[in-house]
Amino acid sequence: MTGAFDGPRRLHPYTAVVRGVSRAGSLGTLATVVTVAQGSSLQELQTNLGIIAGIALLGVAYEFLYYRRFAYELTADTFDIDSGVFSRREREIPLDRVQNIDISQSPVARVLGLAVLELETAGGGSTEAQLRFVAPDEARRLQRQLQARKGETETAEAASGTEDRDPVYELGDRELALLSLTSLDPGASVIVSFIGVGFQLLLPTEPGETASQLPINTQSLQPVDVAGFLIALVVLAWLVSVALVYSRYANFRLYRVGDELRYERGLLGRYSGTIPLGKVQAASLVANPLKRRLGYVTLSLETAGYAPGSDGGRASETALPLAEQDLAAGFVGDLEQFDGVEVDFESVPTRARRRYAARYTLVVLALVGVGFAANRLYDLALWYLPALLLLAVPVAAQLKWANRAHGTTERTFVARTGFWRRTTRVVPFHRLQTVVDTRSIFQRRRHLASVTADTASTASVLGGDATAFDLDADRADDLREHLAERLQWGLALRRARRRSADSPSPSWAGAAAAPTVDEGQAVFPADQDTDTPPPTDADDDADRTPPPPSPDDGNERRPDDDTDV
Amino acid sequence: MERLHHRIRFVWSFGAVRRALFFAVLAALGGLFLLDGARWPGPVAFVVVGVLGVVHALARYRAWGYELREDDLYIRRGVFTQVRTVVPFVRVQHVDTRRSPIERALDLSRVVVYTAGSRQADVSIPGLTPEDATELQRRLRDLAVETESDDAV
Repeated sequence: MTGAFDGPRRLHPYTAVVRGVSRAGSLGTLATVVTVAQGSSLQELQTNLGIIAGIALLGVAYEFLYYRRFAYELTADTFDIDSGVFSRREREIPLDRVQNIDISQSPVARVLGLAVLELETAGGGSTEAQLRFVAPDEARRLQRQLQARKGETETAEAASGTEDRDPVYELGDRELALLSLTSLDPGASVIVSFIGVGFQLLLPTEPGETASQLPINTQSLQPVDVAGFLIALVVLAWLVSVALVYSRYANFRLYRVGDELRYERGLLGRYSGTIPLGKVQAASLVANPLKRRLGYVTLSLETAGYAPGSDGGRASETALPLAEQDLAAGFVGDLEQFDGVEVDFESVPTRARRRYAARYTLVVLALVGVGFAANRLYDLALWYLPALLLLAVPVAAQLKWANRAHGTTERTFVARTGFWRRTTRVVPFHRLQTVVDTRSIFQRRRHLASVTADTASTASVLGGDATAFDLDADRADDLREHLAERLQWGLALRRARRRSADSPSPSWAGAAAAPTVDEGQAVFPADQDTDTPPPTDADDDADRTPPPPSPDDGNERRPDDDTDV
Repeated sequence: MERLHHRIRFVWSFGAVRRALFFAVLAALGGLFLLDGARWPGPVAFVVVGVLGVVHALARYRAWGYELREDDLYIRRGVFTQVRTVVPFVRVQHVDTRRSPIERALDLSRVVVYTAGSRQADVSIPGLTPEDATELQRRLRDLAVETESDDAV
């Protein structure tokens, strides 16, 4: 705990150098690109080198000033940062608003002994504070002390760090290998398509032919060559993906610190971050067919307050990169406001399957139509080939139908969809914001409806809604009202729990002790009268469950009694 | 289920006519340059799009309904895709009333309800008289204030 109140601090002294070099690099590149884009030859470029070097030097100077004028200080209840070269900014972040504290070390930073610390607050448009760079020890010290002072966490526990505790979860070698082999990193396709394009441009097939003519001159390319090239690209993409996933998730460990999860990962770089359990909006379990076959699933937790797309903004945080299905389900069950994903899934009516078949048929017919039109214009051989896809339509419709399902547990709404990326989304009733029921004309024709449980999770902006698709319309009415009722129930429960507690208890404690209903797995429990205390068998999984607070149901009030709302 | 004020049909029809005018200009330009100066596309587009738009506006008025229930605001709307939204009062972040120029001309107002939810985060109820809108805003605000701040996210 040394250095708690010892005044403002500076960033790591290397900061000026590393940031300067990187800034100079990007400015220099920009200057070079601009020079080249103006059509200058290589000779002219050399004469412009002086200017480019000058611009790069300006970057170094700027970063030196940035370092000189950057100071941060951890006070008793705020984290203050004074920064800015030209316009000055003094920022105070109240500690109890801090959501996540992330430390990352890229491979280069790791070699130089540097780390980046980032603070996130709910509702912030982007990362609230970034210390780039500090020494790794300093980053960990700040992370620990920030957590200790966030209030809800027991100081001693948070301050002890992760070095001497057992991880809740560790990604084993076997799982890491499986994960790398069965995942496809989106970054890989980008890298490989760059390689592919570059390759095409750089490699003239015949002497004298300029590279740029190549893509147009399709006659000289044999179909076999094209196929071989494409296969090579796919294999390359897969290899790159394996390497990327491997280096990202190597050494993955998840710890429980107070009411937060803290993960560490990375092969060359080191990355660590926290997931505040009290702020989890939804959990999603994702698996592709291969992972499902092997019985594995990826678990992510979605929190509120991140801006998607902006730097540092994330919608969800991977809690378990690859875990056996039972383990992941148990993990979710132990979270605040959750009670597992073992649901009696209600499947979609079979008439929805006809709807999917009709939809896919239309898509295939449209493709054939495009082929037909292209044939009229360019005289293609085999333009009708897409029609073969009609054979796949029944299979696709069946798979889509079979993978869609929904259900409700005692405390959560669960919706599942997708074959290639089967996603099971679990939303605690307590986190519901609005319930939206949509019926398109095509759905109404078949008396179907979709129900979406909207939360404040940022992931749903990116298309990750918890939606039960194509229910029977009458069931949709029931489900919609059921969700709304259960939200009131969950809130009333929390309120009653808060009032009954003598001392302010950690937010998760109230939830962990929330009563369960006997009819547990019922899809629409009609009656919530049968509140019973929770099972308190926390010994076998105490390492990842919150310590069970004494089930104090004396003051328990049923939602019906609650006159607040 | 409460209906909107019937004058909202004029607001929406006005929007439809404005859209029809836009398409008519496009069609007229198309006729002028692509069809050797044909005169008919403009007026035809105006009539077709305008009539369809006005019919849609009327259907929309019929489909719209809202209700303040015990714990939530329930809204039903949509002609082609019917949408029913349940907004629990506890989730209401803030409530606006708004009036566009055309709404002011017809003495109407709308209430916009914001939640922290990410999808269709703001729900708006158009076609209220200014008094009704203010009253609805006040009631929603009171209902939202009753709940504890901690429940909002």
